[in-house]
Parts: sequence; structure tokens; C-alpha cells
Amino acid sequence: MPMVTLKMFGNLRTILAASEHVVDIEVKDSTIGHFLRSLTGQYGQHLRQELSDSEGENRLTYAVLINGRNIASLSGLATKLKDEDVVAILPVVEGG
Amino acid sequence: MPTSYQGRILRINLTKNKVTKEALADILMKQYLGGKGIGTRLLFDELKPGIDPLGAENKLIFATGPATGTIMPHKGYVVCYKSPLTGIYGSSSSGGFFADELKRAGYDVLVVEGKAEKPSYLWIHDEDVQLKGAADLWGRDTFETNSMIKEELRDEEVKVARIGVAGEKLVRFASITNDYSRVAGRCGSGAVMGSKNLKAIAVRGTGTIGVAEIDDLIEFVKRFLKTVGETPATAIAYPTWGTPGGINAANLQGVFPTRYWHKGVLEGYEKINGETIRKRIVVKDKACYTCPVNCSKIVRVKEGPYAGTELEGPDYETLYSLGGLVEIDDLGTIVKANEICDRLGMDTMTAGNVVALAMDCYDKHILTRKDLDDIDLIFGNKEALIDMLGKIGNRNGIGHTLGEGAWRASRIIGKGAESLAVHVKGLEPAGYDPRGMKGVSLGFAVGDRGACHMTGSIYTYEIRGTIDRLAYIGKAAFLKELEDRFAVCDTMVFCRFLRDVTPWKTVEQLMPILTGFEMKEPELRLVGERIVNLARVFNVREGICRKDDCWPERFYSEPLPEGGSKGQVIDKLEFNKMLDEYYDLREWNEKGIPTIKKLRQLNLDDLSREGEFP
Repeated sequence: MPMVTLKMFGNLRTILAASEHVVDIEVKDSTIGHFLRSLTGQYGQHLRQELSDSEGENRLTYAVLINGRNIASLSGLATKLKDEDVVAILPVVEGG
Repeated sequence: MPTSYQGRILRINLTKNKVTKEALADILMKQYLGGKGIGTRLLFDELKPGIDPLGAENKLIFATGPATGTIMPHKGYVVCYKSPLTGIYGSSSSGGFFADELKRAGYDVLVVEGKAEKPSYLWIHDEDVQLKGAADLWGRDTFETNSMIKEELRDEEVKVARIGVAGEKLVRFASITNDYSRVAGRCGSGAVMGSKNLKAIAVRGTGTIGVAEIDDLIEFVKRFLKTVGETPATAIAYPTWGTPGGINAANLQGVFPTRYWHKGVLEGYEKINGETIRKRIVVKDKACYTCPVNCSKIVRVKEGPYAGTELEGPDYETLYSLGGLVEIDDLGTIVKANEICDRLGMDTMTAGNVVALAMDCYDKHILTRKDLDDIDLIFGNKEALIDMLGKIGNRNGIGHTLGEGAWRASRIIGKGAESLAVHVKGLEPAGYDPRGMKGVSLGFAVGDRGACHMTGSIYTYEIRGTIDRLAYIGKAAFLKELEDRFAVCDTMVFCRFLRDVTPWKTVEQLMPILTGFEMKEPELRLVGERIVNLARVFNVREGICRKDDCWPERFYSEPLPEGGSKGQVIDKLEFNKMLDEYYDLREWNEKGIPTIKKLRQLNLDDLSREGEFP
């Protein structure tokens, strides 16, 4: 089964009780949007509330990166995933 | 009508020990608002081109803003000077309470000029202004100096801006520290102060600060605080993790400068990120005057050789420079290194860069162990970092050379060190690798004080993903808009971390409430452009033009080796296209010099007398 590595930061670590997960996922034709929905399905209400607003969209508090590229600069939630991709979900905050 | 301006400039000539109090001209308030605007204009008018930044002719101009001292959340002051690090326009800003105290003493602006005959400190107590001896303070660190002055004046409420030993020894990137540990960090303001034999400026203000419409201000601030509380960065991220919250995003995207700009990922970055700092060493959150955000963290190291070390910080930029660049992921060591810089009073960003440059030179056999005073300065050597910082701040041995900053030090070292040194116009960059952030490559190249992240702060929007960090197209226009807006924010003086809640509209609404001046957005945009152009002309008359708006050659040819920006370089052709577009948008000529037409449009006609303008 193709696999995606999921890295989480900020409050998500508490919710998922781990910093890094290797997630089994059927990659063929799967998008990051589908992946996030399945993740909230798997980890329940707390994660859904943290990641999504009332419309079900990704909240601005979190950025989603695939292999270091922000999905906003790719195809958004429609971005396709492939085997061995590294997905990171992290709070939006900058240094400086 | 009441106004939040005090309407006065306090000027101290240290050579003559003469104090004058001058009216702040109406035109300065209306065309430049405050902070960076007024400071830059006065600096331009009062400095002759070509002066020695460490000579008596240089000045330190501390300028507060219309929001300073009021209940509107703000930062503090901007200090303007000719930089001894870069030889061009220098300015730094700082938070805390010092600026509010200065304004309560009755002054919007403090101009320090000349050179005192012997070590001195300035004591401003409302109308009473004196130059006092500082023989017993000379040689003291910034924390000791703060305590000793408060003790001497028998007033804990006195606010003290001071330098450490690095400023006394003219380390070209020495900083000015105020309050407990707020720092006007970059470009060497502390060296300018040291060159004037001025150890500190102590202020006590007991007056009041008016505003034009107090009831409106109270209502405005209530709405503003609500917005702050509903905005992700200011409501959650900065209060929880502070700027170290940005460590993850920079590393995951492969733009966290590591091993002296040869890599973009620090392997152990999670050992020094915001979550780890919060969990392991934060003991208290801290905010500046009237700010609700609490972005600053008081930390205490709890284990290891530096257990017990306590300070305010480390922030993102320090973690990059004293962590990533030197390949150290030990939090205790970074906090200790931060403390050494704070005590000596020197910019952590440049300090980390010069140590890392020396490490790189050692690695490439350009410097030998003998050259380095028998310090085994390999990347990752924690003790070596600590030893070297002490040498730099005291200008001992190899520290004397490194105290010159990367640009000058590399020329002194020679043997190829020049091509390793990373700087733009003499200023070492902030902690974002431009190869993986194309807007940063432009923003740092054209920044008014060198490779500066504050003028445009485009890194924010690239690291967030608001704009595609790897795209060249559209970056020039995006940067110009940011530079103009943040120039105005720096006049107010707003903290950059309030950037999401201080759009043009905020300033437009706030100016009449604070000052009684109606300023609509188009007029404010002109103010922003005016300041950007003024700083540019300051630099042009010091010899700056297109040839200086560029990166060291290795950024065009040495790809990032791994991570989210693997393979990225700055494409020279694309970079030059961005630069052309930026000049066009600014109405500067192909050499990057503002045109007469542009200067006239900005009511800067008088500047054209200062040089050759097309």
C-alpha cells in the first residue's frame, strides 16, 4: 500500500498524540482535500474543529505543505498526492 | 485642538554639552507622520554625504510616532543614523517602554549629535536635561548598566537605553538596548553611540500625552483589540510560540539558513522550534507597552552546562543565526549565546553570521586554528561559539576582525573569504534563504539598509503561502505595495507583528483620532512612497545604485542541496527582470535612481539638489 508521511505541529500534536505519523492511504487519484477529510474522519471532532471552519474549509490558522510546497501554490485542496509524499500541517506564524 | 504629538524635538550636542528644545515643524508631522518618516527626513537634512559613521558628525535620531504613549498598541521608537556596518542609511526600531517615557517627558524626537569628551550618560527628566559622567559605567554590560543607573537616580521607573562593551569597542554591529531587553538591533546603532562616548540615555517623563478625540480612540482601540483577538497570528500563534513558531515552516520549506548559507534545513530543527521552547524553557510571556499580543518569552535554561541562564528571547532570527548558521541545535547553548550578545550589546543576527563565516573559512582551510586563537571553530562546536562571541564583543584576537561584520572581515581575511561572505550592501541577511523565496531575493536586494527583512517583509507572505514563493512574476508589484505600507506603519510606530491588523484603513481612521490630521489612503500611500524614496536618495548620494542591488555570486550558482527548496538558485535573468519591473513601478531609472519627476510628485523636489538625478 502506498504511504504518505504526515507531520503535525502546534496543537495538532496534542490532539493526535504524536508528532509524526506514517499513514496508509490509497494514493491513486487521492487529493490532499480527500486526505484531510479522511484524517478528520479518523481522528474525530477535535481535529475537525481545529482544522476546519463551519463551512468545512481549511482554517487560515493552519498551512498545509506537501514536500515543502504550500498547497495554496499548488492546486489547493485538489492537489494530487503520490507515494512517499510528506504532508505537513502547521500553524501559520512567521519569525522575524 | 489636542494632539498626540508633543510638538518638540530635544537636541543634545555632546561636544558642546548644549541642550536645545525645538519646535517640531508642522510639515514634518504632515508629510512624514513620525518614527521612520521624521527620523529619516531629519537624518537626510542634517548629515552631509560621505561622513564617517563613527565620527562626531554622525547623529542618532530617536523618533517616536503618533501612537507612542497612547493606549493604541504600538512598538516604540525608530532610531536613524548612518550605519557603521554598511556605510549607508541605518535605522533600527525597538519596543518596550522607553519611547513612551520619552514622549511623556515632552519630546517626540531626540537628536544626539557631536561627541562627549569623556564617557557620559544623558539624563532626561522632563524639562531637566543633563549630561552626567559614566566612568563607573564604562566596561559594564547592558544589564548592569541598567541597574546601576536606576540605583544612582534612585528611581526604578526610569527607562534606560544603553550600550554594552561591544558599543564601547565600536563593534560595527553593536546595538542599543532599552528596558529589560528590547533591542534596536541591526546596523550598528550601538557603535554610533559608543563613538560618541555615550553609554546610556535615561528618561523619566511625568507629563501626559493628549489625543485629538479620546472617546473615539477608546472605541477604536476596543474594536482593534477585538480584531487582534480574532486574527490567527495575533490571537494564537505569537502569544503561544512567539516568533520561534516560524522555525517549522522555514525548515519544512527548506529556507532556514544552515551551515553558513550552504543548506536550507537544520536537521535538529524540532529541538529548537516554538513548541519545544514553550515546553522546555518558557517561564513567562511578555508584551510591550499596551500591546495585547505577548509575543515575547522570558526563558530559563533548566539543564546542562548553561542551566539557570535566563533572558527575554531567543527569537526566530537568533535561532537562525546562533543555531542554523552554526549548525547548533542545542537550546541551552543558543540561549547562552543570546545572553552573551545581549550583555555585550550586539546584534545576534550579524554576530551569528560572522561566527559562521569564520567556521566556513576554517572548514575550507582559509583560516587556521592559529588564526582563530587556537579555537577549533568547526560547525556545531558549542563551546567554540560561546568563546568566539566573547572575543567579538570585546574585540579580542580574531574577534577584532569579526567585529567588523562579514563584508569587511572577509576582505581582511582574504584568500577567497570574500566570495563566501553573505551580505547585501554590507548587511547580513535575515533568516530566509532567497534561493527558495524569490520575493525575498528582490526584497533583501533593494532594502534601504541592506539585506533587511523589515522594509518589505515579503517573507511573511511567501512563507505563509499567500503568494507562491518560487514564482518571480508579480513579486515586484507585491513588494512595492508592502514597502510603502510598512514605511507608514514604521512612522506610527506599529510593530511588524501587528501587520495583519494594521492595513491602510487602520492608519486612515487612526490619524485624525490621534492627531487631528485627516489623512486619506491615497495621501498615506504618498507618505509611504516618500519615505522609501528618501531613504533611497540618502543611499544614492552615498554611491549606491543598481550594482549594489544584488546577491553574492554563490546564490546564483550554488543550489540548495535538500528539502523543500532542493535545487533552487536565484536565476540571474529572472532576478534582473524583477529588478527592472521594480524600478519601473517606483519610477526609478535603469540604474535604480529615483527620477526628478518622481521626486517632484512626492514633494521631494529639494532632494534633487543633492546629486545627479535624471
